[in-house]
Amino acid sequence: MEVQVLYNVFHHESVSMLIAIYFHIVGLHAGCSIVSITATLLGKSEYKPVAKIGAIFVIILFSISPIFLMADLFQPLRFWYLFIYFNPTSPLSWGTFILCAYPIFTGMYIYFLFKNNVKWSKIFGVISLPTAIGVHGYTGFVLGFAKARVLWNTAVMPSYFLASAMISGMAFMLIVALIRYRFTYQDKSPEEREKDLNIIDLLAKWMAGFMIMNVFYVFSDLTVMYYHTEDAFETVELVRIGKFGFLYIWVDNVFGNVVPALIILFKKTRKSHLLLLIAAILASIGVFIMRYVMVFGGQYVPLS
Amino acid sequence: MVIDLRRCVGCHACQVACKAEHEVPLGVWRIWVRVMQKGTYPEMATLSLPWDCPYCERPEEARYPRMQTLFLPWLCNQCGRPICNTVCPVKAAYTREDGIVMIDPHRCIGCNYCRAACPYNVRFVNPITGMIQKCDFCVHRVDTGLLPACVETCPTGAMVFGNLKDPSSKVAQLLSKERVQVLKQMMATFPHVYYIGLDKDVADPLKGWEKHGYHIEFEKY
Repeated sequence: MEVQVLYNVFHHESVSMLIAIYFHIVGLHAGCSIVSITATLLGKSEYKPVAKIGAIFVIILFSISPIFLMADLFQPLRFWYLFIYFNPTSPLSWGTFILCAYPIFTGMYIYFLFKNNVKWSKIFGVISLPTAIGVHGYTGFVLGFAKARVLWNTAVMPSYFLASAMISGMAFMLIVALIRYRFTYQDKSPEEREKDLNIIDLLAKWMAGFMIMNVFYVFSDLTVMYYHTEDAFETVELVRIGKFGFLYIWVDNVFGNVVPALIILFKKTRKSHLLLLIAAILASIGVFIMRYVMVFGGQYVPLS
Repeated sequence: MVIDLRRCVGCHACQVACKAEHEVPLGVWRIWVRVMQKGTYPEMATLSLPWDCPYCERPEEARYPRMQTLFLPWLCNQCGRPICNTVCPVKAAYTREDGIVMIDPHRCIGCNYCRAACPYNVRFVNPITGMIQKCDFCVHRVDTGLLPACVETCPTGAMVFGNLKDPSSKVAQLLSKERVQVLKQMMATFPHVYYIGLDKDVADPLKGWEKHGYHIEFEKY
């Protein structure tokens, strides 16, 4: 039976590139702050530089991220309606309030961290950790609640987004830590160098752990979609061998997750800082490509 | 609303009436008629346009018993459980007491989330005003006792509009005696636009779309 569509209407895609960039930036700073807070809560003094590196980037990245959200609105001057009309079933409403609570608590945490006030930085760390998780977790729910698109409407989406946020945040911090080490190691005593190397090692190991988790999420998501409806067949074929296949499988998963994880897991390659830098850059590119494929691949399959 | 597809002739009059009634800009539509050919004519898949006519050489193969054209007026389904209302962050999307799903233009911030979540792809951004819009069954006409513009203009009477809860209305009678279908029932949106004589191929958005090769072995049957 041959079929051919003679006339149909497609409305242009609803979630734009700005939102993909926003997802990436919010993932970056949520990852940075989760790592920073965890390092503080663990309470070992050698993790302190990690916490400080993370905290600085949280401030920088957070200050630019809402611009993308505002620019995406078709009525940007009405953004304050989000505060006065609350809809408890909408994840965008949750996100509004998480996005407001997050800078307050994290700001207090960063203030006490730089004041070297261990007790209060731990207290505000505990308070701001859920908001830091929520500030990226809600974006996963935003995509997960859009029931029209099978690529988004999966239960794994929030945790998948969180795992990739951790990867991007850690990769960013790893790049900064490597650059910092490269430019400052000549002035330091051997013990301090040893500390810096330990931090780099630790970050890399945790990043590899989240990469393995991410690959597992991708595997379970794609395989479950093969056993799902017709839309799901088409979408999973689209991101596996179709238009987004190269980006999603090769750039994101193979070169963004598997290769860097292998580089880190082998002890010989982990000692090479050049390879570590390459791994971190690959991971950052991979996570951005993942956001891109999620946003545009999800909207590629027609609904009408 | 009940749409009797056995009567639909694919004249696109509803589409034009809607454009005129609501001053819908170019490129976006509140209602459109999806047109699809299906049949066993082998070269049909290579046709790009209906008037690009290689079957003039073998006219006997391209006629009615071997192929037909299907029409499907596609509009907002005015769902009973609308996902757009659920996900709107400012409650700009709401349902009226008579069941019509509306957008409050004074409250909508244009976040596009309802458009992303709608399974029917009926919402669009008005390129002139920057507002999210969709079919609202012409509430301004319905409130004054008139029929929606598309129903008013339908030359064959394929579109029937009325109160489902009133047993004497034509809609309720059609629903009780005919076999009706809705679009995308698995989405659990409980649409209030019912189709009589809906074909599975024209209701499937993926039919006729450029595929990635996975389904070819199943499509032969």
